[in-house]
Amino acid sequence: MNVISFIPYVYLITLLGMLTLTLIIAGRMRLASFVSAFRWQSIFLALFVGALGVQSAELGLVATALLVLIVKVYLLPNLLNVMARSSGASQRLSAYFRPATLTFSTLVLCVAAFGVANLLSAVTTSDTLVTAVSFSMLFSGFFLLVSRKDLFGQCIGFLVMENGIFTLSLSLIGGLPLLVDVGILFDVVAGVILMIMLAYRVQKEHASLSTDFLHDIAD
Amino acid sequence: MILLLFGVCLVSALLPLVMHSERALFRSAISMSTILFASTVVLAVPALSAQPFVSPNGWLYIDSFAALLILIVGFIQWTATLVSIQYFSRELRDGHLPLIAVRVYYGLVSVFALCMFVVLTSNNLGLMWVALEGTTLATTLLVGLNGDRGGLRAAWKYLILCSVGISLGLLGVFFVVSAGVATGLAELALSFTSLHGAGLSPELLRLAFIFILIGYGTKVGLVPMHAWLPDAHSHAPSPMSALLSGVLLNVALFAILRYKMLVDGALGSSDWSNTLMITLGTLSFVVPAGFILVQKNYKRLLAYSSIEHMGFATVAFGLGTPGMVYGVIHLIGHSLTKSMLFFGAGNILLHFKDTSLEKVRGVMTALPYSGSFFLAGIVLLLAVPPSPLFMSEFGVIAEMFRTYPWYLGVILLAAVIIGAGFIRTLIPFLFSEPNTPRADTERWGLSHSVMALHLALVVLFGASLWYPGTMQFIQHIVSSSMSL
Repeated sequence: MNVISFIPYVYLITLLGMLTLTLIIAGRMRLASFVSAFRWQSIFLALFVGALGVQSAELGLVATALLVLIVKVYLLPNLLNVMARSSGASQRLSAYFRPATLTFSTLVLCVAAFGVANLLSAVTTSDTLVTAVSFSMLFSGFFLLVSRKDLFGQCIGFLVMENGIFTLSLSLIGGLPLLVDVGILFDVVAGVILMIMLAYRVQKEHASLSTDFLHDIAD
Repeated sequence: MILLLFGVCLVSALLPLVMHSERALFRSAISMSTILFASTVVLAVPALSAQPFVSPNGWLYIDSFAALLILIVGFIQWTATLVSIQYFSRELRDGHLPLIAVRVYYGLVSVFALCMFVVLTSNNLGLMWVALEGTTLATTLLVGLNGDRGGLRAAWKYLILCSVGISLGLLGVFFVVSAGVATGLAELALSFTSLHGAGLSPELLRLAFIFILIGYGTKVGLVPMHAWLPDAHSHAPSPMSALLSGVLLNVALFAILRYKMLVDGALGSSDWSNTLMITLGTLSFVVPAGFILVQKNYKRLLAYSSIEHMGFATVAFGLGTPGMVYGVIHLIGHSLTKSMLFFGAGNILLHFKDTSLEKVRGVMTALPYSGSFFLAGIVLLLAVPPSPLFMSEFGVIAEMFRTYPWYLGVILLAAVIIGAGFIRTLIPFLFSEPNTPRADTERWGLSHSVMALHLALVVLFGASLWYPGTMQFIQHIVSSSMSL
């Protein structure tokens, strides 16, 4: 038995891991566990990319997996936690719905994602399960953006969406040239760092990270 | 040559790091933006009439349409820098901004210009996406430069909505690339020129274009993804607003058009993409009309007008070759006019310290020069001849009579509402008695010379359209962009 023969199991475990964490993230209402659920989802993503790299013997993909580990598992979650601590933001998150409703809605979205993946399988060559998990992350990330009432929810929502798009790119194309991958990852990192900086200023200015300040009527 | 342009942007982005005095900072900003404008002239003017050019490594591609937009970006970043000197000197003197904020501004504006040049010259789908997202990242802090509640709100909305939008665009990019990979292009599946005519799957390209139109359309400010635009364009410092409205929207629309050519090629007809663009464009023209009619803030008024004009340009580009000629005219006319109006709005804001249409009265009496330029700009924006927008709107309307009469009815109704909205809001703004104590009479400054230059160029361009040679030249630009 060599390493390669385990790879299909790694795929299955990492994909199911990402899917489960999508549901877990949806209902988390404390900052620390919300961020750590995202961290775990990114660990599974990195493992998935790494396994893909080992199977296809592509160094570029292994390097991308390492970058995901550095950026999405270590750097960004830690930055979010540090910002929350230093600005004195509350650990309690808020949403428009109760946690159970959030999780159930996300579950419905995941089922819809499987439907979309099924439709897409007619036009793309990608694996249906990977497409379904990617769209689950994409939809649930979008749902986090609109259902959460604080800036952390929007930040993590964007990151979960990005995880979904990244996974889909792997299944559709099997990885991009490293330079483009690095460029995309750089944009994501810079975007999230900017979000964290702005959120810090919002916390300092309004003593809250609630999205209420976005709803001032201007017109 | 293209790399030299990128190099000038980079140097210009780094220089503010070592400029510690206000005088040195302004001097270096003016010199670098002048050099940048000169470089765009040297690069773009020959490319306007030349055949499309692909760099030897295949990463860069420049055609006449890209060259035209490079020239417009180069020109407006130059005039915006000239105007910004007066604007920021005043802000620094009044203590509204610290020097560090102005240094950040000049550094990031150069990064912003660099990203726009990369979008316009990229032959690589991934690189183009990275640069387009780069324009958002470079300008987010500038939108919130003032640091007040409104600025923070505008910056957050801008960053979140554009990042999410452009992420959906990335999905579209991946669908295109996967269609390329399926035809055996491998690494070349990321190159526009290789993808063109490669026999891509029509279904995948349709799916991709929907994501691209939604994703990149967010950056163009197309309705319903426009919610960030009025906030961002009205809260940014005025020279920045001029750049956001005057050039960034064009650059994003250019990216969409690149993909439209690919999709049309794969489908063997442009009917499908045209209908999508006309529908979304009409929606973007109609929805802002209501907001313009009841607007209470003159910078937001200009921002909503940008949405409406980009909607109109999108409709024009959805009308096939004759419409595309008018689309190009519309983009040039709108860029020059809207940036001039934002320069004027900057002077008005500096004097009245308010952007509310209710509180600012009698601009023509208080600021005769800026007020006159503002009035002239509004008249041109409302497509009164010799505005180039008259020619483009007349041409598009004539074309739509034949092809899309129902859409045209809605557009004409909205145009009447927009015209009424501008007249209703701006007559008291410009012509009533000033409600502030009479200060010194306005003196002619650099910003006025810049606005005069913009005005002269718009009028000259509008007048030149009556000569067949100009129309033929624009026709050449359009056909070069279609020959991808």
